[in-house]
Amino acid sequence: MSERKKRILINTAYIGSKTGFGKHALLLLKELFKTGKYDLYAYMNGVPVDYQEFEAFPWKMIGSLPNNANELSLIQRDRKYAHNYHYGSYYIDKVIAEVQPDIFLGVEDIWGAAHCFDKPWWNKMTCLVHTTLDSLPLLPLAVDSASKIKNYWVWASFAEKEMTRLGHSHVETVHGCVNTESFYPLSEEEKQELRLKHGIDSDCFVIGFVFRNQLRKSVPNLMQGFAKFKEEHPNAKAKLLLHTCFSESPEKSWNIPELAKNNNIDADDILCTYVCQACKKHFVMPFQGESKECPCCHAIVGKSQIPNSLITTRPAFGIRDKELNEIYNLMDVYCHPFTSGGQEIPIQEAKSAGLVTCVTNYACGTDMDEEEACSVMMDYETYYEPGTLFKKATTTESSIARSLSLVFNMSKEERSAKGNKAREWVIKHYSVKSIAKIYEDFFDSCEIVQEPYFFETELKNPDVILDEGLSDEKWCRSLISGVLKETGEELNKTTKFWMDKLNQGFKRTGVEAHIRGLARFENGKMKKRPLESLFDENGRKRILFVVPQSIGDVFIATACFKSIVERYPDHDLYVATKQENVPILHGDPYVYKIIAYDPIMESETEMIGYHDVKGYVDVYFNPLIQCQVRYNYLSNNELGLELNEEESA
Amino acid sequence: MKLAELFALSTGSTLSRPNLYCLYYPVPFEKYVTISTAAGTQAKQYSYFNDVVELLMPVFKKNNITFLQIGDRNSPQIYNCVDLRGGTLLNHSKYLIKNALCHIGNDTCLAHFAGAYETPCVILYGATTVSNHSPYWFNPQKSIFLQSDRKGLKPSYAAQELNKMVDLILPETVAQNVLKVMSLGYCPITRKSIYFGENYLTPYLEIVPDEVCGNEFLPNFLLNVRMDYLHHEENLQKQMSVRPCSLILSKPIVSFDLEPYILNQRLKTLVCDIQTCDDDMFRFVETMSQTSLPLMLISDVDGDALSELKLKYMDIGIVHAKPKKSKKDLGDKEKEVNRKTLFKTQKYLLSNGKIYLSNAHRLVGEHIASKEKRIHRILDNDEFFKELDYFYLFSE
Repeated sequence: MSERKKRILINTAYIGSKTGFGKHALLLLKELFKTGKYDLYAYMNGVPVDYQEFEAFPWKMIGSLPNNANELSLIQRDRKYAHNYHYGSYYIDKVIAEVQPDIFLGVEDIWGAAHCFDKPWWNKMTCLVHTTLDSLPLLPLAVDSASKIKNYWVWASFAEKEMTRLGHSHVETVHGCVNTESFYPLSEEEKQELRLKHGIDSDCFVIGFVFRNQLRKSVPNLMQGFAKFKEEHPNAKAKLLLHTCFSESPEKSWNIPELAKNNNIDADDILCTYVCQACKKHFVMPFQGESKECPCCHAIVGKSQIPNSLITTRPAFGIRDKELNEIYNLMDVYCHPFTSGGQEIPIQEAKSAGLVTCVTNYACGTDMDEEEACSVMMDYETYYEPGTLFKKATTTESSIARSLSLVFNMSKEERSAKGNKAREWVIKHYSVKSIAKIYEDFFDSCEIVQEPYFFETELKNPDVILDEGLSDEKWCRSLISGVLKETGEELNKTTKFWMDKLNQGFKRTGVEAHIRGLARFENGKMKKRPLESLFDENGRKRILFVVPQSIGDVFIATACFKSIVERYPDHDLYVATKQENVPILHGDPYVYKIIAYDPIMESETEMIGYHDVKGYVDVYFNPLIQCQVRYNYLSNNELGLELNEEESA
Repeated sequence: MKLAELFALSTGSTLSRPNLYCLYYPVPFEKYVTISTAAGTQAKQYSYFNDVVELLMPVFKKNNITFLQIGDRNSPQIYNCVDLRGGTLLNHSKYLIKNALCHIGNDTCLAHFAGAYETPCVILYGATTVSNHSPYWFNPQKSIFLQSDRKGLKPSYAAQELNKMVDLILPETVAQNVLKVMSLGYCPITRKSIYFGENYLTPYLEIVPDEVCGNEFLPNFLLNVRMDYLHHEENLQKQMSVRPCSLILSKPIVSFDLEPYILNQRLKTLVCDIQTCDDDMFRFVETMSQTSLPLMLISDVDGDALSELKLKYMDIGIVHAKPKKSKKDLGDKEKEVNRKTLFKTQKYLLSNGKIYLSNAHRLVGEHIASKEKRIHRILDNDEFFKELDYFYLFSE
């Protein structure tokens, strides 16, 4: 009997996004898919189950967020999910149970993958985490988790070395993939054509930096270094090409024009990449502010005009790899100063495009410090980041200027030779083929899980009865342990979280409704019908009478039950109310079952079903809508009721 | 429970008659039927009233009965009716319904008016139910409330439905019931609907680029140039210069640059039918994807071949699997279809100065003399069924 293909479940950022993890996973999936050896399942963080773009991919795509807005809002409010629902925590158990992977691969930040490490299925199959760590000391979570992660890969060797020093010698370095086929040196004629197209003189010395405008990118240092370089080489016709968004959030990004001004850099010497939102053309030119008129289409394309359609490139609206390769090919040197980093893929892209690269010799930058990489390593001073106390690098301006001078003084031929050598080095160590081969060898060495494994995901108990007489803390603890069945440290954390809420003025009823609702959704993820456990499977039809509160209303409502039951003799009467009102219903001969009230019961269509939604009951009553949701009885009852035509006559 | 009963319950009142006040509206016809396509929501709006009217028209003509279309001005127009859409006040509509021989329409206030006046009526329900939403006051002898079987599903109560449940009611069922409430039941409707293509109601104009079509023919229609039927770049260029169009192709355009036509809005959309991983086509699609042109990639291949295409094109766009239709897509109805089966469509294909109703008809040279003649015989061959989405098939 031939063995089936290995099932590999890859949990990572959505591969259609332009994040480092997403791009790496996409390249990897493409390469693995081409081998035809594996059944591939991509469990995508941050996108819903029915995401429409999934149709673009030839392997199985699975979303990690509920489509249902109510369910999404519930998990967004919850302590357990609020921080990690973006990382796939909500559906992971269900997906593992359905896919039954032989290999689980988490390509994520360590805090994004951590929710898996204590799962009952963890390490029952081959589990591999491939993550980035960007500075020293290593994140405590990354170190503490090392003993739980049998197969632990990091994107840069400095992290491996530090892990080894800390006694975790099983941690290995495997770089993130770089698409060396998309990034390559153009011919000299093509480069000159490009310069002509973008209005850059052929004798300009273009220094480039491709980056997300974040504070950890050392833009001020680069500006200072560039100014110093210009001072030292007044005839160099140097330009600084910053391929980034010039208008990201002011608190979290650099004000580039201001930095240029402070360093007395001529505005014409700062080039940026503009993209037209209407015709999608891109232009490299001096930065003249955001929202400019497009010189090509003047934004009259299509029905809806986009005035001032030209903006600097950004993650949400950028250019493709092919065009980015053209940007690299406009440069004479690539300079990448940073405070810390996990791999800094643009450095390898620039090398792949045949550029000599200047790199800060810290964190992942140390991997570039090899003779064959032909890097120019830049010196730095260290400082401790306020708050986190992580060790960070600040690249010195003199080192930047010196590095740029070094490359400037090389002949074109020398630059080209070094660039080609650097490209060879990147192909060897970072290309998709090399990295995918490492994965492939690893996957091929893994065992197929012969017997389907089952893990018991303990169902929650949304209907547990609570003692209302307990103090807030004890009540909260009994709610969390009883309903969510949490224990130990989890129980302590969740109790503290909700106690803080109670102390802030939250009502017990609200907290209780949330926790019970969450438990039902948790159960429902497996069964798809969160309230089913409330009803008996006895083959009889069901009436739901919703009367959540208050005691007086519940008491009055009992007067309707006899008539209802007599009118619907083949139905069971379920009465939904809150815990505190249950005693009022005790001993009522017409009530088949008292069930816990859930806010979703306010929706008649959810309860009786609609279209292809099955619903739970056949007959639904919710008389309180007209007295508790909205008043509609306060002033219209003085004359009593005319119950039928005979009486009114 | 109906809404009126709910109101009675919450007000503790007994129900009498609603307000039947109406305003006179002059009608030059002694005998007429009111019809309205208006509906408060998309899900309530029946799509086949034109077919209902077409079925009733012979009987109505014989009996000298006129159709008056009432309702709001934006509701879809029905052919061969006196069009009063948007031309009446609500109380005029009440007057017209009161004096009509019958009212035909969706689940709207007009249905409640008809019921209250005890005017014979045929009202259609899909997203909502007869038990809750039909008129409380009505004459049971003269009112028929048709509820879609919804293929066994529950009512959605939704404002929008992807596949409207109300459209599962067949036009002949509506027409036959209209005759029944009008005591004209002795005139049988002989049509038997077989299949409604999902695009049957969408007006669609195509051209094979063996000619150039000016603006005078169906000027409000977007012209779709079928380069996949005939790859003629010179005629395409001429066509785009005289009339804006959309383009369906299976080979790249090589002899001229499309970009000026995109910028000048002469080219509106591009559909690329991709069959192989051919590099020329890939480069063309890649170039087009870097423009503002709305681009759609489709393919009728499946299995590994489709996976290969997706792998190649995934950075550019989604390759939508669009399997070619065949007679088998008729399912259980396949055996009911033969060469005597009739069809209607709103799709016209122009070629060499003639109008065809399908590519299959073009290939055998069967053109139509006038687009006004709406019912034709099918061609029982594979090429015909490829366009099944655009056809309404029936027998008579």
